[in-house]
Amino acid sequence: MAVVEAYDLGVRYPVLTASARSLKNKILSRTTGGRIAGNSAGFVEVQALSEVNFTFHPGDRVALIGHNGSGKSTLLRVLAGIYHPTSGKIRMEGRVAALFDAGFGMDFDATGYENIVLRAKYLGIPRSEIDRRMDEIVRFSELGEFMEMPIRTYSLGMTARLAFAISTSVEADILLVDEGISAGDAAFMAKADRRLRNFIDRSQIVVFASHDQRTMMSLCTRGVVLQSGKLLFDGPVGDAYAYYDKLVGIAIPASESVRAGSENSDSRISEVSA
Amino acid sequence: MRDALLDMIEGLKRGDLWVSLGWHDVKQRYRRSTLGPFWITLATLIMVSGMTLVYAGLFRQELAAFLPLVASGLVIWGFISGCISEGVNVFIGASSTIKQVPAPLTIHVFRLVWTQFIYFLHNIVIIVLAIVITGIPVTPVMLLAFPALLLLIANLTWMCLLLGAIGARFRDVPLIVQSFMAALFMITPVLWQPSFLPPDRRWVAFLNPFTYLVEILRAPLLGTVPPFSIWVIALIMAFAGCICAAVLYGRSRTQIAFWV
Repeated sequence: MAVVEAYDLGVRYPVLTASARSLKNKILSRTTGGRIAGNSAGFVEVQALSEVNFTFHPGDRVALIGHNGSGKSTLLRVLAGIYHPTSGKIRMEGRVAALFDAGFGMDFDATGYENIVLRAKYLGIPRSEIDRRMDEIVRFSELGEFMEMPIRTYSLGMTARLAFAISTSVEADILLVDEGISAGDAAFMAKADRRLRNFIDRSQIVVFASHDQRTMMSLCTRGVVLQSGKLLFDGPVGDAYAYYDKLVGIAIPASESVRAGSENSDSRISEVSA
Repeated sequence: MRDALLDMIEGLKRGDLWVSLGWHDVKQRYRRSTLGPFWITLATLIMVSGMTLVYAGLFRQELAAFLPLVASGLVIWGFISGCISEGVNVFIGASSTIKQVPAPLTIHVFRLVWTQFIYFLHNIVIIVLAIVITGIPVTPVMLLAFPALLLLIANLTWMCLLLGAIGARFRDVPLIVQSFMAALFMITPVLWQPSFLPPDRRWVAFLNPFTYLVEILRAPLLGTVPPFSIWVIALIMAFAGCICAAVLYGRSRTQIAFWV
């Protein structure tokens, strides 16, 4: 049975400045006691998530709510196993599928068929399963004879359709969806929407990050509000949005007063010297 | 360290993925040239012919004796330098994949070494050609090339992993490494042999780890048994290098996704 548990989950990562990315500068600053490259060797650390606790059970359709930079995408990437927690722990059981950037790893000189095989291998789908799914993917993406051609001859929409068709053909216990998985024209969008809902229904746990409140309200059962990397609210999705709206209502005047007053009062970006 | 080793094993298990990605890289290179597969071999062949003519003259060597040396040297060096100069960029180059797909990062290293190995197989034709032209007798000793090749690959793999992790963190390292590759080529006995040097200066070659990596494979390919010491040194290098790479990779593994 699928389960996702986070205990005091924290992610802190360095945003390296150009000079901190240079080995020469690093050696120079070591050997000269920091006099030469000292000040410029500082780097900024971002606390993308801090002390996040939750447990997701089968049947949970979780909406991650928060404005840009609140930690939604970071959390999804931690759940996907791409980022590793720098503090706390995460426990996951079940096969995870991530629908992030639909266009990742597409090779523009390879044909549609080759791209299906490559992508499926990235996603860890066994060969026998790929062969079984191939027809269905081709049919869904409506690309027909184009499948034999290198995808650089495709239009943007066609590429997106293919990518979407492949990504949504896997089986997963835990599904992670980041916003902006669009796929082609309006007619296709409706079809894609049905397929996505179908995919969601098949998965035990779904974690969704999007700014589209209407979609989220209709798809999700549970809402998690994140701000500045902290989990502020966890409950039914309607209540979560109500909480978020109130929060944003307060946050707008508050952030303006911060800008007018002291700048480092509540900042989660801290300067660290190397 | 334990995580790093698990990651390596996990990466090896995804052989299916990196083998097909590697083939894919090679096919891509075919597509970009009209001569297809032959282009890789032809380019090396032209280089071998030119270098043989020039350096046999410079070193006052007979063409027939020098050709196999140059052919084997350049082909082996092509494999080594390909792995190193691309290895230092291995994670940077795969950044979009690393940020999108959960997979052990070592697959990118295996994919690179595998791709370079396929190129090497293309070029090995030239060594065979040189052997046939100069009439070097084919003996069972040449079978020693297989264990030698394994040792070489083991060494190149840890170098890729180590350099890749450092290169992802320090962006000037790829440039530094690439600018040193040409010098490394000149000071490594690729086109020459340590015996060409005056005895009191041979240490230059013997201190260079790449001397052994080239020689361990070149000797059996040209029908001589590599000295026992070379085997020992290559083995120690592979072992110590793997440990170094595992320690460093273990420390940076969780950070690489943030760096690239």
